Formats: sequence, C-alpha cells, structure tokens
Amino acid sequence: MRVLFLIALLGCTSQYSPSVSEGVWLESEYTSDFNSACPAAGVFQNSLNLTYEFGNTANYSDTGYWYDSSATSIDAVQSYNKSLWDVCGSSGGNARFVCSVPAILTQYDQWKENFPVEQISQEQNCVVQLNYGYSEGVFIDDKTVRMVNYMELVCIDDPESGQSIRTCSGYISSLWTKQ
Amino acid sequence: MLYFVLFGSTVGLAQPVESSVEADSIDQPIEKSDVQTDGLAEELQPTEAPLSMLPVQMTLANGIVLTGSVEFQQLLIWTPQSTDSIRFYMDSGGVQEIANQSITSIVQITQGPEVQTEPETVTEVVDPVEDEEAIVDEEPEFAPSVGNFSFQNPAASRYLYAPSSIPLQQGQGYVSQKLLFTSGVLGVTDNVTLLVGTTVPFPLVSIVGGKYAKQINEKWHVGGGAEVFFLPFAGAFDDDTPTAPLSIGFVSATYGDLNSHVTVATGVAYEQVFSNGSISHPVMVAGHKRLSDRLAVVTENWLLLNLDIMADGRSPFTASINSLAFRFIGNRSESYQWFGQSIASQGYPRATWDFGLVFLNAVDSATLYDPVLDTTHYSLYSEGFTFGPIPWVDYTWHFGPARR
Repeated sequence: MRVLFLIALLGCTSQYSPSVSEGVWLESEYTSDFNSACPAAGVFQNSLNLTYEFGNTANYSDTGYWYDSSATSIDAVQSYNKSLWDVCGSSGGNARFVCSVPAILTQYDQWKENFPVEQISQEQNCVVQLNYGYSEGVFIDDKTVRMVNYMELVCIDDPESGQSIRTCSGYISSLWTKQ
Repeated sequence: MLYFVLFGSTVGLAQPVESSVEADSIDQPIEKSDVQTDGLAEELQPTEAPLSMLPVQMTLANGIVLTGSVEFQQLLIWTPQSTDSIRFYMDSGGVQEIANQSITSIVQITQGPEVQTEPETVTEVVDPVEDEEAIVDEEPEFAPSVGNFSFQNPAASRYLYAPSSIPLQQGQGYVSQKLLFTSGVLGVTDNVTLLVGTTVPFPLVSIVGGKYAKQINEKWHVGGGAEVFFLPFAGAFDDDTPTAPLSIGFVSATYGDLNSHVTVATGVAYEQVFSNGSISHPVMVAGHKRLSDRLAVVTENWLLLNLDIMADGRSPFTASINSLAFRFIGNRSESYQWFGQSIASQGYPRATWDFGLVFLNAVDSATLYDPVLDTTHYSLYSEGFTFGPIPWVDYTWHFGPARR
C-alpha cells in the first residue's frame, strides 16, 4: 500500500534536474527598488537584452559562496557572465539556487551607462565596486527562472581609506526565459 | 395470551414441543395453545426418534438477534436463498416458524451447551407479554462473531489513529496509549462516539472530537465527525501561537463487516501551524483484515491535498502517511466492567495491541520570496521526502459490554 501511494505521489510530481539550466537565458520583466541615493528605476529595461549562461552543471550543487571580505572589483564579477554555476549553487540540490554575487552585475557593462553610481564615477573619478550583494533564483519550470538581486555598489575615491562618496543599494527582480 | 412451553434443562435447548405454529414470522403474534396435544408435539411422542437440535444464533432482517435451537435436518438443507421457513426453538421456550426472507444469518453456537435430544416434561406457564419482550430485548451475553471467529472484534471502530464508520455501541469505550498520546473514547449512544486525548506526560497537545456513524445496510456504514487539536499552553510561550492550530471535519464510508473492512474518508483540515491559516483536504484509506481470533492486519493511509495551489499549476500533493501494523486482538466482557479487570470473562485479554511501522512522505517545492513584488514564487518542481519507518505501538484497553 505504501508503495502504491509513493508511486502516486512521484507520478504527480516533477523533480528538478540541473540539466535544466543548460542553454542561454534572456532576462526581462524588471522591477526594482533602490534607495534614495540611487534613482535607478529606469535603468533596467527589456531592451537591454541581457543574457546569461550557467555553464558547467556539475557545479550546481556547490554552495556557491564566493567570499571577498573587501569590496569586489566589478570586472571580477563580470568574468562569470557565462559560468554562473561558479558563483551560484543549490545547497539543497533543488530548484532554488543562491549566488554569492548579484547575477545582474555580471552584465554591468551592458547597463552601467545610466546607472547613478557609474555616472558619479565618471564625474568624480571614483572606482565603482561591489560592497555586498547576492542573487537568489528558482527554476519555475524548464523554461523559466525567477531572479532576485540585491546589491550595494559603492564608489571609492580613496583606495587606502576605502571611503565611498556614494552608496547605491537596492533590489532588482526579473524573469529569465530560456532561449 | 397464555401458552405452555416445555423447557429443556439447559438454556438454549428448548425442545420442540410447541404446537399449532402457524405464524409466518416472528413479527406475528405467538399462537395461543394449550398443553401440547397435536402438531409437532405429536411428532415427539416417546415412541418416536427424538429430533437432533443445534444451538444457533439467528439474526433477523430487522436486526433482532435470537438465540435458540434449530433442527439439525432443517439446517442441513437451509440456504439463504431457501423459500421455506425455519422452525426456531427459542431459549425463552417458544417455538416459531420464521420465514426465510426474514432471516439474515444463522450462526451455530459452537461453544454453546450440549445438544439435548430428550424433552423434559416440566411444564411452565409463561406470560406471553413478558415473553415477547424477552425476545425483543434479548441481548446475548457474548455475541458470536461473523465468520469463523469465536468472538466479536472489539476494535472494529478504529484503525491505527483514524476511526472507521463502524460505531461503538452505547456504553462501549476504550482507553488507548499511542506512543506518547493517550486518548479515551466512549460510545454515548449506539451512533455517537466522543473522543478526548492528550500527550503524556505533558499535555502539550490535546484533542477533542466526536463521530456520528451508523449502519445503512448489511455491508455499509457511513459516518462523519470533527476533531480539534489544542495547544493548552500556547499563550504561555508565544502570543502568536494559535490555541487550536488544527481542526478537521470529515465524512467516511466503511465497507465490510467487523472483521474485514475498508474505509475511505475525506474532509477539510484547517491548520495554522505552518501558515496563517490554510485549508487542505486529507484523504484517508484504511483497511482491517482479521486473520484469526487474536490477530489482524491493519493499514491506514493518509493523503494530504492542497487544492488551492492547483491554480498555479502546482501539484496538490502535500504529504502522505502510510502505515502497516499487526493487531493482537483482545476482547470485551459480556457485561459492564469499567475498570479493574484485565481479562474478559471469556478468558481473553481485554486489551488490544498494535505493532507496526509508519512512513511519512512529504512533497516540497522550492520557493523564492520577491521583496520588490512582495510575492512568493513557487517552483513547479517538487521533491519527495520519506521519514521512517517510525515504530508504532498502541495499547488499547476496552471497557463496556461486548457488541450486542
């Protein structure tokens, strides 16, 4: 009897497989919420056509933690734009994953032009860095991912003291669709 | 009306000396007669061979149960489809022709008194009014069981936790210890059963419930009821913890008899433990199969469904609980004996033991809270988890009389 019920249960459920992440994912349907020092609501548009790749699926079950106690170079973050499983992982081995850097920051060069911190950087010659951030995502099905990014970007004008002249923090949520 | 009956020396072995039996069924008035001078009495003249009588219990279509004797020759040819009538010699002394369509079953009383073939000549005047009442109100001290079992199953009203639709009778009850959970159940009428229970030694979780159940035909019982789980100390630790975190209303149907039966139940469960208040629909399928006088196998299986999430395209399956247990059946006494005796008058323990294994299967879906949209996204992928086997031990002590 137990076996019959288990079969019934499993027969009506679908189990996540990391192979689902293979392919190219297009980001859209942005919504954001930033602090008052960072009016970035209009920055994230579908016209950006940002795409992502998870890379080697063997790494999906890593914890994904990628610590850096100091502020992190944006260039370093962008090096993962086609290998998200190097900074993301699913500790539970299920359809939910966490990234130790904001996934959207791996595409920074694509949307930085109108971003307030980047404009400050160009005006005052400070260096934009990631102070803190992460992403969380869940595979809704084999063609859809829901993502939430949180990031705190700073613009450092004195590398020795690490003093920031502008701190931008906020959430960005979006939908990824497999291409 | 007056009539004379010749009694055998032992109850249940009245000899066939009644005469002028013309009634077709038990519902018809008992025929008045004088001292037997004709009919059957004539057949029992000392010069003739005596009839062989077998003690039986006869259940009538209207539910009345009679004990008495039937001629061996009639029993040999009787079948439920027979069109003839049965000549039934009641323990109370009467003899009655009972139409076959009025008879539901005839069960031989295997441990009854010896068959007696010689009529005695004791003559007794019986008040027919009292005699009729005796027939209707007759409650066998220890009703024989259906099938080839020597006593009634005292635990037909329940599986491991869930009840069947077979009700306890008025005055019957039990006290049950399920792992760390103690419960008491009492049949306040033949159809209404009340339940109270709590965890021990600390009453962290308590329960109050009730069930109404009735038999609608020979094989089917139906019922319905409710159970409410309480946290008596909820307010002592956290003001947000609900006092009654789980309430269940259910309906059920049971097919079978006291020894072999299957129950399907469903209902509505309102829980506030894991949510701010959500409704799920449990489905329960349970079965009981008696293998011998003292042994039965019991299974109880729950399926928890959340139909609300089907709108999101998600699976409604939340969890299932499966169990399989052996039940060592005890007995009830034939009379009211509330406390103090561990052995029924027939020599069997008054307690029933269940030993089994329980498996909990849960289904979980990954979720993501979106603070920007203030919503939770649910994955359509699900994962199944199994906890167990968890040992199940239940000791149940029965009180109240055996089933009438």
